[in-house]
Amino acid sequence: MFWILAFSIALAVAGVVLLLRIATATGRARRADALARRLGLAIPPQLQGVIESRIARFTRANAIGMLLAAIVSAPIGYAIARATGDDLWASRGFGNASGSAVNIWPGAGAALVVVGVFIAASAITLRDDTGDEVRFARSTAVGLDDYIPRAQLVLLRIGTIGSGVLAALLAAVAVAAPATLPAALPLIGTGAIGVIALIVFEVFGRRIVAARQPSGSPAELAWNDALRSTQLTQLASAPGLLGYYSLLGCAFVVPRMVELGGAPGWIGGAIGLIVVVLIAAVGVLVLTLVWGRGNPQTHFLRRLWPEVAAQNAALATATTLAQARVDEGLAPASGIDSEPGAAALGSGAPVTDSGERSEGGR
Amino acid sequence: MLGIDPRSAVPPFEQLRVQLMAQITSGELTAGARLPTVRRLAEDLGIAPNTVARCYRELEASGVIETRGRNGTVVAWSPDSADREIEQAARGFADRVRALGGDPARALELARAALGTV
Repeated sequence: MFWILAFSIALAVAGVVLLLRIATATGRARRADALARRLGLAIPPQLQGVIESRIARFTRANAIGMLLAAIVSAPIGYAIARATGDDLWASRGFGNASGSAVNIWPGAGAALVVVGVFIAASAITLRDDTGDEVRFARSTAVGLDDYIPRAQLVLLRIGTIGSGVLAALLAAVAVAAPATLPAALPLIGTGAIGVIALIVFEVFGRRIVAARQPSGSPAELAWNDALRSTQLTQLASAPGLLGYYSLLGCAFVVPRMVELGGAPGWIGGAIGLIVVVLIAAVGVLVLTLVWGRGNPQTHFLRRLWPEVAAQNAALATATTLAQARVDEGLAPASGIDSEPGAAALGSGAPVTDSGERSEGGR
Repeated sequence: MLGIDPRSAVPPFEQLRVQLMAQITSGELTAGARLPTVRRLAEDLGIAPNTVARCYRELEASGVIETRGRNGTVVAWSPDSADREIEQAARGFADRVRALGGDPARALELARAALGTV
């Protein structure tokens, strides 16, 4: 119970901090600037207001979702704590002893789902404020894999379905040996919520991709893509994390179940060790596959705005080479752009807001 | 990228058709490329779905795009397919000239004039 309370309070505080950060114009501008640098996409001056308000809208939805999630996760955590016979105020760490951190996972998972739903709702209900001006749209259909790397999509689906199967197996074991139920319950809950999170992602993710993108210029369309990519990534984090945490939880819960079931302790220990090795292997695989083709946050640029991505990459390479020359004493430091990201953003925007057709997007 | 200017004298349907045609024949949109759904494109461009549907229908009638059920609307035109169609049309033209007992040199002259290459 200590952990779930700590988690809920932390979530609520984070939500309030997020709201405070976008309460002022400076805060909104700073947030937009940070996102622009992270994504490698410039904000044209004439779009500054529109983009900042869209980022603020998305952040507000995120923060309100966090506040609601803090309220939702607490009773779930409490119910799990009661059902597993947890000492309500104990704060002992990992493992499945009384006060286990594993008990908060279903509540934390539910919180992630609630935040995801709020983010999706803000993305789907984007207002059309372009007015009676030139409107731009992409001439090809887009899919989820234009915003999230295919490897990441496959892995999160496999991971979450795997955690659902695991939850079903643990439930079957718990039915056969009721003594193991208190140890298995957190993982059964996490697996079940993971499956719900995957359904939420698949349904809302498709709705987000199918939602309209009212854009008065190619640059605005690129920014709509950027925000959509960020929203989808956040929505995908719930099933991804829950799948991974379910696997992780096995290392702690299964040995305890084996012990409660009356089997020799070394069997549980061996299972725990195998699970840890598997988790490490899966982690390396995920990182290799997802990051193998570049930063997943800028995946949408490589897919939908390849020329902008190529321009950013070329600039980054040039800056690295220039820095190397300075390090070797072959060139003066003044020759290097102190803010390569800013330079890339300045020249790398798909197009100005003049209404000309972009050559950069597909 | 498609752009529609609602204040232009050119109807939105024509603006859309010309831009799609240009992107397809220039190779920017290759054969098999999936076009957005009628509803999505209409919402993005702020025009009526019927306008987009009419444009798609016309392009489909001329064999530039095709509807593949659940797979949506895809580009069907390619330089090869265009060549094949032109060859077929030329053969039909030649058959008709022969059937009418026309002079091949005069027929070619008329064809050039029709194509605007005279």
